[in-house]
Amino acid sequence: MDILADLSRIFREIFDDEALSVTVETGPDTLEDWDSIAQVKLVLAVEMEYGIRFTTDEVAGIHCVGDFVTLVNRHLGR
Amino acid sequence: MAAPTRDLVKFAAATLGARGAVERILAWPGFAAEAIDTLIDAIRPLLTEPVQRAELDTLLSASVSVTARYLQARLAQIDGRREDAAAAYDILRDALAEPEPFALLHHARVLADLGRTAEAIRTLRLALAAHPPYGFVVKAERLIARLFRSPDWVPVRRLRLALLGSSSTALLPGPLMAAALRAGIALDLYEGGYGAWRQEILDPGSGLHAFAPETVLILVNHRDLAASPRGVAAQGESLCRELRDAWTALQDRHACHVIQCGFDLPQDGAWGALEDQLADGRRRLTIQANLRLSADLPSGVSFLDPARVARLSGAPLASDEEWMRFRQYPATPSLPAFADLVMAQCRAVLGLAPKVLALDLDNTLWGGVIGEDGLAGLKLGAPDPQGEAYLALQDFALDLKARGVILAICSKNNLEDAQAPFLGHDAMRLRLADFAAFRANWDDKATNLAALADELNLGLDAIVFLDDNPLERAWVRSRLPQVTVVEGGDDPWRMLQALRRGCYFEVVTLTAEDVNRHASYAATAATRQLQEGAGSVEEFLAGLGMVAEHGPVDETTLTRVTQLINKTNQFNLTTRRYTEAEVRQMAASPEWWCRWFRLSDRFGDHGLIGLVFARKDAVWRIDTFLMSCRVLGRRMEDFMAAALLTAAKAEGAGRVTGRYHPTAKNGLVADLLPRLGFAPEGEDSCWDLVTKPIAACPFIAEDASNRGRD
Repeated sequence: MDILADLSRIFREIFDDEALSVTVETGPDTLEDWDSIAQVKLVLAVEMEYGIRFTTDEVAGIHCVGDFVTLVNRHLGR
Repeated sequence: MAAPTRDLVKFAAATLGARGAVERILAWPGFAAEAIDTLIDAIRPLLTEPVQRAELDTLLSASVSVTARYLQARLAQIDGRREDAAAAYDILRDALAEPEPFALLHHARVLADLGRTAEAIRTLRLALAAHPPYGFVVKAERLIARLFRSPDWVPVRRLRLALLGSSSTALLPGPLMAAALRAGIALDLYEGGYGAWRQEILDPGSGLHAFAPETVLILVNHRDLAASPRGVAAQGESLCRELRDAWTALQDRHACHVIQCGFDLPQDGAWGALEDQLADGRRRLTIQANLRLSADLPSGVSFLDPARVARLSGAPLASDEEWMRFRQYPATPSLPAFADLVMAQCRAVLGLAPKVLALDLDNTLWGGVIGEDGLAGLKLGAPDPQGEAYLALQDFALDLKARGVILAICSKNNLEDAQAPFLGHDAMRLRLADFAAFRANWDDKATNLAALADELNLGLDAIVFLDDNPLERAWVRSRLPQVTVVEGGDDPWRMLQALRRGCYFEVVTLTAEDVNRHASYAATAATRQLQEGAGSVEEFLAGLGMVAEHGPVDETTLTRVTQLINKTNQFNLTTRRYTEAEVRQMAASPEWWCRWFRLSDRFGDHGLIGLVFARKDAVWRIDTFLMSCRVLGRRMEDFMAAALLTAAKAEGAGRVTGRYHPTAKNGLVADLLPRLGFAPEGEDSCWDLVTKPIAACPFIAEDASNRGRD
């Protein structure tokens, strides 16, 4: 399963940008619209995508797309 | 088998390969756009590889499944072939009996990219009518914000709404804009600082006051009560007093409407039942705080009960999890219903709520087909559970009627068959007399709904349509986009739930006209019949036995007057909108002549149906001249003009002037002033009281019993 492809789709939809493509390095520094509100929406969307729930600590520790990938893998037991 | 899920698609892609997964999923029954989107991720590598791409396209063209149509649309979108994508989405939409929100979202995005704003908005409204979850709003809100900014969108109304909260309101704009879009309202939003509702209201220099809100939403939650299991009485009392003072402060300054949210109940505490039973138990005190807020509401304030939102959304507003992780209240699963209810209250205040519930008969108000099953074969009432559900739906409709919603029938049936259950089935709750219009024939439903709107003298946007048949719903959706179609499936219990969830007929005040509205509209329909029998218009008008009266706007009429000012679109010379507080100020001012008009005839009392406001000076200037459309064509405007001119003359004015302000909807009164006898004078129309005598309206007698109140 290609988590990065899923995340790209989620980012494209939330940011309303069909051309958007993300890498593990993409973060609030490189993606201007990624503010704290967008962060909440991203977390909720990723959780809905995989049917998982991040802990409070994990949510606080997300600073880039790579963090999402790591967390998703951890929650899916991989 | 149910529609494919994301997990199923991912599993298929992992085990069968991209091409094999497509074949397998195309053969799978059912359709779910979000799941297919994950399939697209899997086939992305094929898209740029010519041979495989050609095979894929052939595969999709050969398939008759809805999923294939969706894939074709999505692939065209990804290729940048937007026109092709839009055309494919059109085919998909028409092929689906029920709206699929996530497919419609992609559809709307393509239309927006093509600059087809109006279509994009219509498409999104279709998606929102199905009440998609918060996950939809997250994906749609950028697009909605983009459409909001588009100069091509012509909303029914703009509204300046301020959000004040004891916690963050940052996630509210998305769902609120979605709900506003559904209602055709363009929102200008202001968000107060985090938790700073007091400062925003008390500080004269705050952003809130600069924004000059028309409506203010005050969001509080149970944490503000600093609830321990026992003993928050003092806290609740003082906070509620503070909030009530805040309403006054807001209204003194902005003449705005206030929507006050109540306190949600906290998640279960350690003191169990004692939190309800003890006089100072936490839940008991929270409920008491809500009663303190909702009791004796001043005019211009409405109460929004979190428990209602929770029932509509099936999700509680207070979630410790979302509070701890995001400091978020209300919890995100409840946000769409929360936003719908907020906008429904805004709509009620603005007088923009729909007015008519148009109902199908067979399998909507009763189980079975009357023309085939006969009276004895209908499922209606106990002991059949579904039969009871139909009665619950009927009771809901009756309750709506009791507070002013017009009921109408739109059914494909022989008229005689359609009426039989109302006349002869003991279990029926609804009676023929409950309907202001009854259309049972074999014409298509769009034609019938249009005729119904005409008969009742209302716009199509005033109609909410409930029908169990997905084809009829789809037909009406495509033909009459202005009509609100309830997406409630075909189960009576689900239809009832969809009627509730839609918050279509939310109400925050009750006027005498609301209670009598049904009689008045039934009179309109009866009048139409008299009209057909009468020889001439004059004969017809004379036969109506019309009696009118007028009086000054005061506290007893203020609510109805404000309602008329804000919802009258067609017969409205200037379409100036005023809040209740503004009307109160004008009515009290010696510089204004603010009068209401009532009309009754031999069919019934139409209630307070007209307004004339004029600014007094040597020349009186007409500020507002409007009339409810239910009394069109009766020369009531002649009566109103005569009353205005007579009053102006009595107070020594030399002239009365006015000017028509055109809007998209008030073409009806473009030549009103000349028609009434006013002489054109540049852009104005003028009546010279010195030289021109005032003619009384010959068809309407005056009831002067109220004149003593001048």
